[in-house]
Amino acid sequence: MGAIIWKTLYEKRFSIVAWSIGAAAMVWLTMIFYPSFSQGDQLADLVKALPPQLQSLVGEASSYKTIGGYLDTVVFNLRIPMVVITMAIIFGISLSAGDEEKGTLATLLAQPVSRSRALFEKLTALLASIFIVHVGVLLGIVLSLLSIGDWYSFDKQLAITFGSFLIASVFGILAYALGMILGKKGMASAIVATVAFGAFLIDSMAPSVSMLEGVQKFSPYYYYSSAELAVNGVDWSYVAIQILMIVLCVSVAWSIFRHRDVEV
Amino acid sequence: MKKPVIYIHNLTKNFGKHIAVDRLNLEVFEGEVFGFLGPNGAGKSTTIRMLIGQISAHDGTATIFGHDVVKSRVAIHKRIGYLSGDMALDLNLTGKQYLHYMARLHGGVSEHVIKDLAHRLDCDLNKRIGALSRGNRQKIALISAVMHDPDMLILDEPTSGFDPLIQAEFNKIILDCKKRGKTVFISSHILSEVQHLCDRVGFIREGKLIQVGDMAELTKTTLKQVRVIFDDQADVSHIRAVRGVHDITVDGQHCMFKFGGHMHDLIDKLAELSVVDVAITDADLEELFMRYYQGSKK
Repeated sequence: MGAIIWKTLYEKRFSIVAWSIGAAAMVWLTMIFYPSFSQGDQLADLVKALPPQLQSLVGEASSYKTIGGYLDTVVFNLRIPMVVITMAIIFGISLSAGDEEKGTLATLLAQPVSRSRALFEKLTALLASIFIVHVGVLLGIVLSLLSIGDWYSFDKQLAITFGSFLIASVFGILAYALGMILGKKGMASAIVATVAFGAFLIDSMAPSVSMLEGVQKFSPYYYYSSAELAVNGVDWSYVAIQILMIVLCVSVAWSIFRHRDVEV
Repeated sequence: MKKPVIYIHNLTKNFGKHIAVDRLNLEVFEGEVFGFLGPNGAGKSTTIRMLIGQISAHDGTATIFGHDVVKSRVAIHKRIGYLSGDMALDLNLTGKQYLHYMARLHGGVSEHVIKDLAHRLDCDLNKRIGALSRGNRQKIALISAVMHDPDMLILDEPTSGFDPLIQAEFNKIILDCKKRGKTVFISSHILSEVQHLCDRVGFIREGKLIQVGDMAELTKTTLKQVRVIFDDQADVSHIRAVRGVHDITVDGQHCMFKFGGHMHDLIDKLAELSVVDVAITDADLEELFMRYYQGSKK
């Protein structure tokens, strides 16, 4: 056991390192502007002048004044999730429908490997890749705080990194599950991109559009952004809901993939 | 009585309205090399993909070593080696890394065996697979299929990309498997490639198995190629009258035709004519194969 996990991680090693460095650099480049944001009032005035719909996208001006608030609203509200979710979706599609379209999935399944084993070992490799990228993210937070000469609760740093890992995993596994169910890279990518963008749009627009309030809780993003993890720490009920979403995706993919035809 | 190691009963597979494999029945016995022949699109690969559990049948059953090919995929795959002509390998790994990975999936293979096979096939295992030619990739796929010493080889158009030297080495490997009592199921659309390897062959056309027979029997029943030289301008009307004569061509005193009737009828007729020379040869099995091909085109 584990051969598929190690082989997948080995094959993706350069890509994983590149995404980790990219994500860490993104955190660092955003965090080094924190001192200027926290000390001046011009930005707060600018935010207050925005229409309420746009304010919900950029966050409250007062939150820019603390490291926790800045992490939640500037670093981890849009930028880092955008990077890590994109990475997770690309990896998820590549390991499922991508491998099927290349024909390597058919080759793997011609070996003494059950479909369940193939599905779960690849899934583990996907989660491990997302995890490694988040080690880069955490390192980015620590290094950026050190470089601006400030510090913040490490527990909260872990909490926001964990939250980012979880939301990336939700979308990565959704992409992976769709790839395993459909076997078609284009179709799976189109669906997951639509869902990811739609979920983000619903979550960001819901505070100012009353008709979206009811559906906001269907967006996985809601359980990430509304938790304000860098300020409040981990909300385990939200974590449970996201894990439930992951379990649901994996269960559906598992039940379908075990019986469907695999393309060459 | 020999045991069938592959047993296929009424196996059917549709792709939409197209019937790719139509109620196929076949038995392949332990220790034999079975050639599964037919033109492209006849249903060979679809049948093999059902046998290795990549796709499922709409109807019918198939077992290998007595196990259902769908329910006991892993148990079957432990005992088979599979190779296809367009096998996709992991291009970012070197040959060595790939074979070690495959060996782990099979529960371990001796390094010595891998090195020996690589040497026999003149295969460089240190290069990245993506940087290798198609033929060299195919060699790695072949090593992967045989290195764990499987009880049965399932080979789907395996020789594409091989040069003649490697083809000869491939033949040796297959014959060595046969000598050691292994079963080989090999598909091809080029009969001459597998003719000298097979004990029995089956012809598939438009998803239907149209004939199965011993290689020796098939050779016997194949049309003979007959060349007659007359002492004067050939009068073929007498020849044409013999039952079993086909495709007569005449060139001066020379007359050539194919013959599938009773030999004494032909000899009797020739005895009546002014014949200078007669040559009767077995037609190549390719001839038979082409007849089936032509049938499919009609």
